[in-house]
Order: sequence, then structure tokens, then C-alpha cells
Amino acid sequence: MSLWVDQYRPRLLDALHYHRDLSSRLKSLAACGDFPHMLFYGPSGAGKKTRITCTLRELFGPGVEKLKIDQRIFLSPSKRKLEVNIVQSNYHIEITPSEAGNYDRLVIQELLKEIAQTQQVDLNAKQRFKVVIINEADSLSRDAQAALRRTMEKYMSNMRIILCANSTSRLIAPIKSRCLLIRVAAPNRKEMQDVLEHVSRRAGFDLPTEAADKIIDDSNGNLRKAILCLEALKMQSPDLTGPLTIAKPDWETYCQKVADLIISEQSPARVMEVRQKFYELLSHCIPPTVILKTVADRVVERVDETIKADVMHWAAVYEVRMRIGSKKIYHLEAWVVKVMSLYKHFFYDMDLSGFD
Amino acid sequence: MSFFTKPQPQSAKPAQKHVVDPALQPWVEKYRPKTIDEVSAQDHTVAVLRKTLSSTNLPHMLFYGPPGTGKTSTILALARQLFGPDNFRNRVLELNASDERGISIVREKIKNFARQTPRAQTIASNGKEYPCPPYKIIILDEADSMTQDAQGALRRIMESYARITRFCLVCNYVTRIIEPLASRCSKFRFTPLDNLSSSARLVHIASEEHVDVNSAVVDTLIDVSSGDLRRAITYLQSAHRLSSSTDPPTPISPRDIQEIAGVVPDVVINSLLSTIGIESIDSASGTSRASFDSIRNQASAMMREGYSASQILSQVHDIVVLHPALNASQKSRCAIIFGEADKALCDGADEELWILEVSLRVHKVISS
Amino acid sequence: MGRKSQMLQVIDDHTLPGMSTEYSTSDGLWIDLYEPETEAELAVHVRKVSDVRQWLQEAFSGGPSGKLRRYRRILVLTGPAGTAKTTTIRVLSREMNFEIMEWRNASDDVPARSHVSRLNDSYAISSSSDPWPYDRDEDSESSFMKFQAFLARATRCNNIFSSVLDDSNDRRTSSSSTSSLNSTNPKRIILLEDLPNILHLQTRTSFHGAIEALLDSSTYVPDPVPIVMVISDSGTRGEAEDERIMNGGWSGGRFGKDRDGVMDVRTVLRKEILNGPFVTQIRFNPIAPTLLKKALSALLTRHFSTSTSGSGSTRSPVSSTYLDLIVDSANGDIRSAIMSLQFACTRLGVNSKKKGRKGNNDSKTDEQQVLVESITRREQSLVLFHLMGKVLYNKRKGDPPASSALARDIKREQELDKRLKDPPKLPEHLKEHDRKASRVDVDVLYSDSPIDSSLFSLYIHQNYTQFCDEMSHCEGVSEWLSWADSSGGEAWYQTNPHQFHLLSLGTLHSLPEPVTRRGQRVYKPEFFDALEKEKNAWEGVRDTREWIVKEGVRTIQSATTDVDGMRENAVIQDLGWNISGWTHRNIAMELGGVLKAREKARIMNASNTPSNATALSGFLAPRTHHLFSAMEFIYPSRSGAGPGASTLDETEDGREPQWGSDGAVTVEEQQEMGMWQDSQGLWGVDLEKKGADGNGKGWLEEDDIEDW
Repeated sequence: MSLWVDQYRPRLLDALHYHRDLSSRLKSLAACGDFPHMLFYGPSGAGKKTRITCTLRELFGPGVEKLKIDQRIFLSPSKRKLEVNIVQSNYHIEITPSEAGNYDRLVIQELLKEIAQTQQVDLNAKQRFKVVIINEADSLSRDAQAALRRTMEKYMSNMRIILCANSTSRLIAPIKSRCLLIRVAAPNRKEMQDVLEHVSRRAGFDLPTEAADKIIDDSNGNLRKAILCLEALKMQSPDLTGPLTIAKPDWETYCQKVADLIISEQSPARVMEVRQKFYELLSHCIPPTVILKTVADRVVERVDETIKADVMHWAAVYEVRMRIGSKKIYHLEAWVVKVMSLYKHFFYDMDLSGFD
Repeated sequence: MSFFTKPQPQSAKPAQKHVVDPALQPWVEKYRPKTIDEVSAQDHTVAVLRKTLSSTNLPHMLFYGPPGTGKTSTILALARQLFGPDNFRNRVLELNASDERGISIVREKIKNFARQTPRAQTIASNGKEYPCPPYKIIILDEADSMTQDAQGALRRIMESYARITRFCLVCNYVTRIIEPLASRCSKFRFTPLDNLSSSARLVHIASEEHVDVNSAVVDTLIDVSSGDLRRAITYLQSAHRLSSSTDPPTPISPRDIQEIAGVVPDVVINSLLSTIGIESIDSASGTSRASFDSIRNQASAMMREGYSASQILSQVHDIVVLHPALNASQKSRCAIIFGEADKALCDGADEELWILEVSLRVHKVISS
Repeated sequence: MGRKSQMLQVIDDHTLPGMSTEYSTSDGLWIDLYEPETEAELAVHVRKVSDVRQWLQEAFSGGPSGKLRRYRRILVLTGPAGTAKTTTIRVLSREMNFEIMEWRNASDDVPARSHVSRLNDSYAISSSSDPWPYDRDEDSESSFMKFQAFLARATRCNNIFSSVLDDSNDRRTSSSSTSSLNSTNPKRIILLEDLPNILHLQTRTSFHGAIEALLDSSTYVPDPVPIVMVISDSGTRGEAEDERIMNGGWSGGRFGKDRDGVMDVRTVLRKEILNGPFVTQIRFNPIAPTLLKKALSALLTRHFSTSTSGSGSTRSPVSSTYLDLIVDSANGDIRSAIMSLQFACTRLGVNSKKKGRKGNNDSKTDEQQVLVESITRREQSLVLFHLMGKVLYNKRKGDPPASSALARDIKREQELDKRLKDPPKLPEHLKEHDRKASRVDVDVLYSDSPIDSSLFSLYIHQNYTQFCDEMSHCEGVSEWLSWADSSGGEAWYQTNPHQFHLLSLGTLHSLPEPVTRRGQRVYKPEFFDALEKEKNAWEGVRDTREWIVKEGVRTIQSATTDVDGMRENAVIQDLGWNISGWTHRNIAMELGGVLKAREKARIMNASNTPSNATALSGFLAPRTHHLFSAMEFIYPSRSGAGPGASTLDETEDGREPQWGSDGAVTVEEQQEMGMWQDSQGLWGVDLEKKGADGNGKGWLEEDDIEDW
């Protein structure tokens, strides 16, 4: 049984619930024959991917949904084998080059060259070009981006590229200027509510408004998360009445408890204990940035207004270090230590002033 | 049927040379200057190059300057004028960073390319006479992204083929070209385009393409592209594409241009600024003390909208730096914050954290 | 006895300069000469030996029920080099009277391989047996075919090997004769120590294939020949691989599947096989100092009693202190210990006489120490502990000596203090950075460090909190760790070359002075365990992703009757439609709640309407999703035992030692070692050279080695 998110994912541009302007634009773009390279960007769970697949469907018809998954092997210059999963139909191909790590440039170059040199085999195809979807484009290395830049111009006649990214900040300017930028903002409360109600209707029940509110509060604009939440909630208490507790993933509650640990005691021994917890989180595949942000959010809730800004300041500082450095735990811990000192000093100073 | 069917060698169609339908051709290519005199706004450079055209003796050249100022266009136009359309293809080799550019490959390509000695054939098929000097031109685009080693190797190559080839290095940052290489070339600096020449060119293209643009749109185009003509033309084409694809075609609005360029709407930026405590210049409401939570909510709301942090940063920067009500000390402290944030974002930092960080710190500076 | 009498000569004449050098080249190595022949001589812990013996017994006879034989197919002995893994097997082969069939790579090419050179067989293979390293493919394949033939013959037919083995077996020890004892002996094992070049990908694949074919239950032949594999650890660093995982970059693109270069038990055997019923793993720990010392003294006694029988001098020139030094620096590697002992004996023979005349005991031990240090310097030796101690104890000029410190050490410290110059006074605004002159010379530390700065930083990180009193101390160290880690570039060659100095200086500067002694112990970084766990968890993510894809197909096929105006009625086989929406990261972060809820619902459903259970097939994600989705928060318990306790108790988080239960030292084992210590009484004398604390317990306790 598939997840609701997948089961009730819209397949057509017309079926999309929000950003209708965008949908109609995409529709007319797909119809006009002058289809550009595109860059979809926006926060996670805003519906970028859904919009891309809908657009494809619009371009090529239902045939594009006949997918197969290939595993392709590339040989790095040092003769290492790189396995990359490729999802493809007769009309398009989809890759996540970050799977190839540092060799993403190689994968991009090889694949695109290959596709550009092949003709559209389906004579009934609606379009003369094929589409290449590149996921997580903002994690492409500079090298790979540079390689992409040239190919985009060179093979315009029989290939279009659709990039999917969370933000445009990490894309080099030449790429941005060669693409039509499509911003997919997160849905607002009303839109989320509509979608949630739609999903519940399809699943065969009515969603009480309070439950919807609760889910929306919790999901912070991430629709995927909201629908997952809805499913979990329905699973937990089938009638959806009474006091509801959102079933958060374990790691979220775990992070909050870590924050409580930080607040409740500040000592070297506690640093050690918090470290254990961080190791535990990291080994459950939770990205360190997310850990830092989640814990920081909780800490900020619990500390005095005057040191909130400092807490976030250090979170920002150590987050960058984390990106550059290789051992994430150091930076997480350094932040914790910083926060503990801040907190301790805050009380110490307060005691002093109270004493005066 | 496999997705990856290789083209049959003996298929009826001649090997496709990626000929682009002129209607779909990027305007940047379509309206590339054909002669160096057509090049916008680089009068000084053009004047010097015109001389070399008459003497047909060309030095090695190094073109540098910000993107979209006509460097590649100039060298292509120059080559075209030197060799004419017939010889252009076999006399000019263009290599750039996206092509495989390990130095061994470059060497191999250059060797092969330089092997055949050029024959002088001055009368072209179109009846015009071209100087067609007895050397070939190798254009190395984006030369500043070559490694030091590769540049060092290039130096030797340049020497050994100096008799029959001229190199033209094109780059954004002349400081990234190693000194021995730079000293072998005559350097030409390309300056950012002034608004007048940009707008003239844009209006020209628009009228050629029968696009209806008013002056507000042109101003926005120039504004968002900050002297980069290529970007401006690309935005214009994208906007045209979007507006003509709807039925009936809608006119292009400045907001469309902003959205295409990924620019954050002024309203959004202004509301962020007023939360921080900087009042936008036109509105003069009383300042309110912002709380941590209000700033944080503002930042996360902006992130939810999907705006790019670096774009927000640069727009906030533009406003703060020119803001009349802030004093120099405040501005410089803000500038430091912006600098740090920019570095962090380049390093791939989390966008939400840093927008919040910038907001909080600017707020602190303003309210102190 | 000819050889021995020659040696006797040398020992007798050790006063003559020049002879000693001749000696070292002229004769066999002690490790060959004195290879243990009985279990009593083995320095291995008795429990390990009995584990191995029991396994072998079960493999031969099938245990009490007689059925175990089927599952006792492969025994994997792992552990650091020089922990007597192979020797244990050989000793047991004598004792239990079975035959060893041993595979040697290209033994005809390299006929004379001494026992010593096989220290790191796995690495030697490609270089020694392969004359054309660039043409390795064919070569390793053909040698692999030989291996396969060997396996096939060894497991099926009997008795062919006796002669072959004799040829290949060129060791001079007497125990080798047992391996071809009598051809009627039905008990035999296959010993795989020298494996084919499994770092070569193809060879590895076929190797795995061959092993799996052996274990395939459908082709089970009665009376299988048990296989014993001996795999030495290739050091604990393994950083290349870890760094590669870390290099995932912005998005965690860490799904490259190859892990080459580092060979460990998981390269040799696939995970499923390793955890399967047919494979037993026994891990040998580094040899405990007490056992090691006992073995060494026994060896010395034996050596000198035989060799000096004619000359009258039966005392070995090696003092107990000296033996301790060797034991110390061997770090549980008996082979290296014996090697250094042999070498030391020749040198020392000369020196001790001379020193004896001078009668200057202090300088003698000093010199001995220098000597030992010069001959026993070994990667990852105990110097690591000293290194950490020096940094973490942050001793500065004028610090009072530890109460248990020996007079000798106190004196040395005082001398050092005299040489130290006081740093210039800092101006007022920098007063907080004023420190006394440090007794630690960071340059010396750097040159002596057995570990690179990356691992060094991990050790600092793991241990610094115990040595801090205040948050401000922690703040300094953690800030330096963070700064140094992020000060380089992304690629390895861009790392900051001054990391080591920055870290040690930064740590010294930040720690309190003097550090409060509270019985701190140095622990091994948990970093690698966490990485390992993370790697497994990503497997879970991948499994879950596959499940999502599969369910996508199934749902679409079953949902065509769904009323949805937008969808065509045709059955769309859209395998992978869902995959595009799910990045690994999203799965790891967002899916936990639903999966948990589904599992709960399933349990409830199953109890209410059992018939419904089958209808829900595919309702649950593969169980491996727990690896990333399930986390239970346990409040840290501090039972008043100080910070160290929580580290020891860490198994409470379900954090198991990487090697399974065999990796951890059981309580009895530790006690038993303690008993050794008691009964021998005098051993612990000089062990607390450095950093002994108030309780009289050195921060480096001999049992700690086993804790590693």
C-alpha cells in the first residue's frame, strides 16, 4: 500500500490545487513549442517535483509515465566505478547527480552527450526534444555546473533541461541566465487546508478543521510532511477527534529533548552527554544542519529574549563551519558549549545585578 | 526501444549538426555583433582592434571584464572580419571551460588544429575580400578557470606555435591569469555597459523581434542585469516566451522581468526591512521595536516563499548602503555583516539561518 | 643442535664488540625458534583458546547433539597483527590432532616466505606475487583459478594434499610437521590466511561466489571440511573511507557503493554471509601486558637456559624494567615484542656489562629507554596514550607533582622546569590569556605523534570534557576543534598543515591549570562507530525507498477503479513514479512518523481482525527502516561515578561494539588478568610513569588496552 502522498499526487497540471497561475503558464509553455530550459526552485515539499512531472505529462502525454529504472555505471578517471540510478521514459530521463559525489561532472557530461546524440525514436512523439531532469541541482559541483552551461547551449535542438533545486544561491549565474526560473513557493494555510481536505475526501473521510490546523501548524509549509502527518494521524486515531498528538518522527522529539538537556544543566559532563545524543542523531541519517536548527529552535523558545539572538548567531556561525569542515560533531558540540556558557553567564550576571 | 539508440551512421539524414531553428535560437546568439563596429560601448577597444584589422598583424590577446560586456562577441566578430565566412570554421578554434580541458587535451587539440598550415585565400564565396592573414586564432574562453598548471603548460604551447597561431584568452578576472601568460598578451579591458547603450541594444532587438516593450520594462531589464547585456537579452527573450505563450498574449510587465530574474519583489524586501527597523525611504511610519520572534517569523516566511538568500542579501545590501537615514558607522557595520553572510552562503550555509542572522545583526546595529 | 651451539657462542662472547652484529645476521628469528608448541605456552587468553577449540570440536564432531557440524563451516579469526591467531590454530592442530591444509598465493613463485613476512599478507599479495602490477587482471584471475581448484579439491577429496602441503610448507619450526602428520587422519581443516587478491574487484566477486557456493545448503556434502580464515586488522585508522563518506558535500550524496582500499573482514566476506549461520567470528584482542610479559620471560628463560648451558651464566641480560618497556611499546603485538626482545638482547648484552661497571642505574634505564624507543617505534604504539596524557594533563612549570609520582619523575620535572623560560608578561587587556610556561613541547609531540592530526583531534574531542572544570574551559577546546576542522579547504590536500599545532596549543591554553585529577581515563573516539551506524542506516533508507517504488506500482494497478475524473482508466504501469519525489534525505527526515503509525495500526489490526492481516501486505515498510526512523531518548544517568562511567555504559543506547560480543572484554576476563597481576605481584612497579593520579591509579592502566 502506497503512501497517501504518492497515491493522491496529482498527475495533471489542471489537478494541482494551488499556484494556478503557474500551472497555466506551464501549460501554455508546454503547448507553444518553444519550450525553454527551466529551473524550478523553492522550499522542500512545496510541490516542485509534482509540477515538473505534471509538465512532462502535458508535454508528452501519458506515455511519459511509463518509467523504468536503470542503473548505469560510469568509470571515473581513476577507474573507480560509479553507480547512478536513472529513471527514464521514452521521452525523458531523470538523474540525481549528487549520487555520484565528486564525480558529478563526469556523469552529467557523459549522460547529456549521449542523450543529445540520440534521436527521438518515437515518431509519434509530441515533441522533437527529450527532457533531462536534474534533481538536487543546487548540490552540483561548480565543475559540473560549468559543464552543464555549455551543453545547454550546444544541444538546444534536441534536449531540454529541467533543474530542480531548493535555492538558486548555489547555482552559478550562467546557468541561471540560461534557464527560465520558476519559483514554487510553499502553499499558504488556506491552500494546505484545501489539499489536506482533498486528500481526506479521496481517502474516504472528513477532516475536522482542528486536526487540519494542527497539522498545518506543525508542517511549516511542507506539504509532503503535512500529508504524511495526516496519514499517521488517521492511522493513530481513526476518528480524528479528541486531543490529537501529531506523530512526529522520532528524531524531532529527540532533538527537543536534547535542547532540554542543554537548558537544564551546564557542565562539562553534560556536554559529554549531549554529544552522545548528537552521535545518535547523526547515525540515524539526520543531516547535521537540521539537527542544529531543530535543537536551536527549541533552545530559543526556552531562553530569555536577550540571549536569543546570540544563540542563533552562533548557530549560524557553526553551521557554516560544518559545511567546510569534515567532522560535523565538533561544530554541533562547539555550539552547545557556546550556548551553555551564554546561558550560564546570563544567570550569573542576573545574580550579580540582583545582588547589587 | 531503448532510450539510447545511437544514430545510425548510414541513416538518410545527414549527421545532424545541431542546427537550431532560427525561431528558437537564443537571441544572444542571433544578435551577436557581426562586425567589431557593432559591438556596444567598448569604443576604446574597438578602435585599437580596428587598426590590427587593417595591418592584419595580430598579437596574442587577453580580454577581461565582467560577464556580458562583449568579450566573446568581439573576438568572434574580429575573426569573422579577418577570415570571412568560408575560412572562419577552419581558422578559429574555440575552447571553453565546459569542454574537456585537461591540459593534455588542450595540447592535443591545439596541435591538431595548428598542424595544417593555413593557405591564403582572400576572395570569399560571397565576393568580398578578406585579409585572411596566415595564422589561426585559438580562443580560450573562461581562461581564468584553468588551473595554474594548465596555464603554465599553455605558456609553452603558445611559444611553440607562435608562428602560425594567435591566442585570445577571455576571462572575467585578469588576476587569475598567471603573470607569464598575461605578459605575453596585449590586454584589453571591457567595461560594464552604460545604461544608454544597453537600452539602445535592447530596444533594437525588441523591435526586430516585434516585442512590445515600454521604457519601464527596459529599465527593469537593465536594473536587474546590472550591466550584463547577455543577461538582459536572455531575460527579455524569456519574458517574451512567457507572454507570447499565453492566449491571448499578454504584454510584458516589469514584475514579470523581476520574477524571471529571480528578484525578490520590493514589497517583500521592504517588509523585511521594516521588521528589522529600517523604514523604507518612502513610507514614514514610526519605528517599532522588533522582537526576536517577529524577525524570525519574517525570515522563515521569506524562505517559505522560496526566494534565494543571496538575492535577498544583495537587495537588502543595496537599500541599506544607500539609505539616507543611516549614518556611516551603521552602514559600515552592516557591510561587514553582509560580507560575512555572502561568504557563508558561498560556502553553502543554510539560507534560513543566515537570513535570520543578517536580520538580527542588522537590527542590533540599527537599534544601537 | 648445531645452530644452538653457535648462538651459545655468541652469547658467551657478547663482551667482544663486533660479534653482536654478526649474530643478528647469522641466525634464525626467535619467533620461529620458540613458536609455542603447547597451549600452555600460548600467550593468548585461555578463554579465546577454548572458544576456538570448542568450535573446532563442534566442526569435527558436531557438538553434543551432533547437529552443529552443519553450521560450523567457517571460522573467522580477526584481531590486530601479532595476536597469535595462526599460532593458536597450529597449536590446536597438534593438540587435537588434525591436519591443516593451507592456501598460499603463488607459492611456487615465491618459495621462501618466512613466517614474518606474512605479517601483512593481504597487502603483500599484489606486490610480491605479481610481477606486472599494471597487468593485474589476468594474473589475479589465473591465480584465482588456482585458488578455486584448491578449494574444490580441499573440500571434496581427501588426502591429496599431504604432499603438496609439504612442499609449500617451508617453515623450520617443528610444529609444521604436524600438518602432514598421517594421511589416514580424517580430521582436517582449511586454513586461509593468504587470500587471493580480493582488493581486485573481480577477484573479490568470484571469491565471494566461491565461498557462497561452498555454503550453499543444496550442495551440502556430509563431513564438510571446516575453513578457518585468519584476517589481521589493517590498523584502526580507516580514515580514507570515512573521509569519503564525509565528503558527501552539501546534500549528503554519499551513496557511492564501492569501498576499496581498506581490507577487513567485511571485504573478505559479504555481510549476509558474515552474519549468517555458517560463519563464526572470534576476535583476538591485543595480548594483555601481563600475559605478554609472562610469555616473554618464559621465552628468555628458555633461551638462556639452553644457550648458556655450557658457559655457566644463566641470567638473561634483560631486566624486568626493561621487559616492561618492551611490553609497553609492543601494544599487545607479541610478534613485534619478541622481535624487539631478540634485537634488544644482542644490543643489551654489550651495554649491560659496561653499565654494570659504571653502576649508574639512573642513566642506565634512561639509556635503555632510548634504546627501546629506537627499536620498537611502531605505529599506534602506546605513545598515543602518552601523547594524550601530555596534552590533556596540561602540566605547566611549577605544578606540584602528582602524589604518586616517583622520585625520579619529580626530579626530571624539576630539571625541566629549570630549563623552561617564563613567557613575557601580557599587557592588561590580555591578562586572561596569561599562562605559566608549559612543560609540553608541542614540536616534540608533533614529531613523535603516532597519529595524524585528524585522528588526534578525534581523541582530544572524545576526552577533553573530563579534564575541564568550567564551561569556559570547554568553550576554548571546542572552539579550537571546530576552528581547526573548518580551517582547511574541501579537498584533503587543502587541509590546514598546522592543525596539529593549533589543536594541541589551543587545548593546552584552554584547559584549566592544573587539571583537576579525578581518575580520568582516555577513551577511544566513538566517531567511527557512529559513522558505521550511519552507513547501515543509509542502507535502511535505500530499502525503504525501494519499498516506496514497489508499492507505487502495486497501488496503481489496484486503484484503477478509483473514481477520479482526471485519470485515464488504463492501467498505467508507472514503476518509479514515486521514486522521483523521494530523495534519500526526505525519507530519512520525514517518513518516520508514518512508518511508526502504520506499524502500530498493523499490530492493532492484527489483534482485532486477524483475517485482515493478509490484505495489508505491503502496508509495512521493510524492517530496516528502524535503522534510521526509530530513536528512543534515554536520559543520561550519572551514577556518581564521574564522567567516565557514562562512556562505559554507552551500550545502553544500543550501541554495540562493532565486532559483536567478542570485541568487548568480559568481566571475568578482566578479573582474570587482574589475578595474573596479583600473583605476579611485582609487575605493576614502573607502569605509572606518567600522570599517575591521587588514587595511585595511572590514567593508563594495563587493562585499558583491552578496553580498546
